[in-house]
Amino acid sequence: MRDDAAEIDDDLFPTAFLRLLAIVHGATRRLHAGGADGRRRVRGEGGRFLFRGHRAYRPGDDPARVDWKVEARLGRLEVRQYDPERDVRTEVWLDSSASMGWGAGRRAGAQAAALAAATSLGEGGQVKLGVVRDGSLAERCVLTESQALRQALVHLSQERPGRRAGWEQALPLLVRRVPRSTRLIVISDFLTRADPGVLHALAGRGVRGAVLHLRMPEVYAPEAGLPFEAVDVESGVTRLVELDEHAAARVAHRARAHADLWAHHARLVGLHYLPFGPELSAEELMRRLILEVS
Amino acid sequence: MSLLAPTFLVGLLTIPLYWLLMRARSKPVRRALPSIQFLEGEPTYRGDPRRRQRDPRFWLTAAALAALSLGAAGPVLAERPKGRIVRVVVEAGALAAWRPYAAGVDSLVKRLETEAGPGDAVEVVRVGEGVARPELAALLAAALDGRATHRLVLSDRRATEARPDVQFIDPLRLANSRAPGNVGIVAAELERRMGGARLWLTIEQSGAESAGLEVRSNGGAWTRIGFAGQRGVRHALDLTDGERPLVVDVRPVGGGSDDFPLDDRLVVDPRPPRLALTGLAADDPVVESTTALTSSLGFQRVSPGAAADVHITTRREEARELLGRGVTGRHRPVVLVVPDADRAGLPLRGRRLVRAAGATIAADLLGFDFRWFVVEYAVPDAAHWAEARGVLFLDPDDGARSVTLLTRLAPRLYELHVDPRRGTPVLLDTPFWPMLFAALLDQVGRTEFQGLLDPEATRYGGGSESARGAPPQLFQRGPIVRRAATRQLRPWVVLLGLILLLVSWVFVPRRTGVRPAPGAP
Repeated sequence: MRDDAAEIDDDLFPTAFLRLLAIVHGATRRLHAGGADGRRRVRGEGGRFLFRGHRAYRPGDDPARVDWKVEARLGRLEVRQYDPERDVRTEVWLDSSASMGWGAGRRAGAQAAALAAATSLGEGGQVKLGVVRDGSLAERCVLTESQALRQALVHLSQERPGRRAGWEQALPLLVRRVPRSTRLIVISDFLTRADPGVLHALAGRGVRGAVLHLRMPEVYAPEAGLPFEAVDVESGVTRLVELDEHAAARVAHRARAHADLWAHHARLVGLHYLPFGPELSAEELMRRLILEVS
Repeated sequence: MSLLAPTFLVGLLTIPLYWLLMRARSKPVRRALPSIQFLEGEPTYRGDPRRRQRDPRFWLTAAALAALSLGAAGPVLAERPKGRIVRVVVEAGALAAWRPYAAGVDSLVKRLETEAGPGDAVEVVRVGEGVARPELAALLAAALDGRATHRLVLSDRRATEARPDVQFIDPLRLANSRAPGNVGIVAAELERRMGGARLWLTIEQSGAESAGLEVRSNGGAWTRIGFAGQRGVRHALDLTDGERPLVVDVRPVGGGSDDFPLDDRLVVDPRPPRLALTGLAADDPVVESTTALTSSLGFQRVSPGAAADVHITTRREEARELLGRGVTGRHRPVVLVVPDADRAGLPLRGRRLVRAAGATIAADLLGFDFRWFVVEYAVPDAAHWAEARGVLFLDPDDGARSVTLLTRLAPRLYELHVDPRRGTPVLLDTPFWPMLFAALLDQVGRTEFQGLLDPEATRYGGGSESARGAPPQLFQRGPIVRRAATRQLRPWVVLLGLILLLVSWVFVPRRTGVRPAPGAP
């Protein structure tokens, strides 16, 4: 008989984390209890019957949704909003490049992916788990119920970060492939030169979700010290530098500006921006996912 | 072991050699990072990153090499003495002017160190010169305190007065390992008679066991005047007018111990001395007070015989001055000692420079405002050493050895003038006569004079009346000091070096290559 538990990496998912993961489903369901028409009512364009209310018209909205009566009465464009009648589809994409496997980043990223999948399953619907590597998207599994979460953990345990993410190619591909009204959760350190403005293609498609940004302290708050030869784990490029206090501050400033740019574009298209790192506890990350993303 | 031991120094050379080897083989510290894209704005480091690496392995290895070098040199640890500790306190005081004194002290210390063995130690504490009596007492207290189990104090009588509770030891007795013996003429009186005079001699033998006394005059045959066991004898010699001078010698029978030959001979010139004693003036202009003070001086006590031999004058000059006169020729000051001056708060101690004749030193002595008069005996621009026991002057003129001892035995003030050449047949019955003889000897260069004795020791042959005739207690105890023990540290230092070497090469990784990521599983 096959022992599935043996395939789960204890280092990535220790027992305490597994206990936490077991309560995510129930906690999410309690938070959204009382929903109708499917397991979960979600915001967005929805169907035709579950009218939720009006909101101001935004470029890109479907003109059929404009409530002309309101326009005639009040003189402004308002669109009608309906709740969808179907379950939510969630896609969790994990960066599996070598930089994500550096240090404690692999564990943090894997746990974040597991928590994202668990919270999404708790809300109902399907969860697709995939990884991004070498500029391509690779689907690992599709989860439909919480009991299948073990399958996701096994896949995450077997995942060995390596090579480059290739967000320059992968990000346009991902934006094109995401269906409308999908909840999208992207987990990455975004140590890339890709243009985050590509995310704007998601606007008007009802895509929501979050960008989980892994921010390692060694990158975003480097310590001043003696000269050293820095090696890029992805490209292998070396650089001999000496970081005194001023240089360390400049590097940290560049890293923060880079993170702020990704956060800015993510929010513009309605995606939450959640920075996390190895120092953030799994409980705190779960809380944020449930309260802010779900 | 000295730190300049060749083995140690050669061993230390391995450290720079090891450093050069490590430097040639070392590489910069490599640190893997998820991305270096944020470092691209920083300039490339142009220096040699190996120079500033803090490599714990290198330092541990260097420490191990130093320890092994030290171990090869054979270090020893001087252990804290477990046996007796002898602390020798040398307080020369007025005796510092006497040359053989320092040699005697050095001889004593050397002997103590020679007899030292493992576990014991000898500590020598020397008290500086020119220390006032209150300070001296404090210094002695500090020098005597501590962990010493035996304390020896080599000092003159001044320290004895400062610490009456301490047993002081004469360096001569320590150096000779026996009580000194002496036979000498301790007093003489000239009795005038018609057509001549009779000289009464008081001869005493002290220290060693008495074997009898012999005397002769003008180089004649020796005459036995005492017998074994007799320590003092009074002997008379008759002189006729025109017979001069008379030279009297004494010696112990059978070559007994006689460590002080200077008092073995007395030269008597029956002619009256011209002037031997000078006077004193008090501060009180009232004649009655001056007279009373003069009469209380007790000069009669030191008068050797007839009044003609001593001339006392009292003169008051502008009051408040102590005057001395009557000593001719150039006199060189040797020791200035004012007894009990410190007790009276006199600022007389220390080195003083007499700039010109007529200089005085003001002092308030027991309510009397005195001016210490030193000029007639002093050489201008010569340094005068002020002590607390009186003034001892020497006249270096040819054949005119003259000694003046100016002292004060509270509350009396004495000025004594001895001029043997001029026929003052006086050997002073004063506690300071050994010092006087010592100064004389030092002046004339008589090296056979081996030491200086405390007057009490001279008189009784021991440190005190109770110890009369007994050999010094110090040497009854046998060797009391031994050399400090040492412990070989070589095995421990070598073991430490090997441990450091093992730790540095087995447990400490080199600071080269890719550094593992922090927090990596």
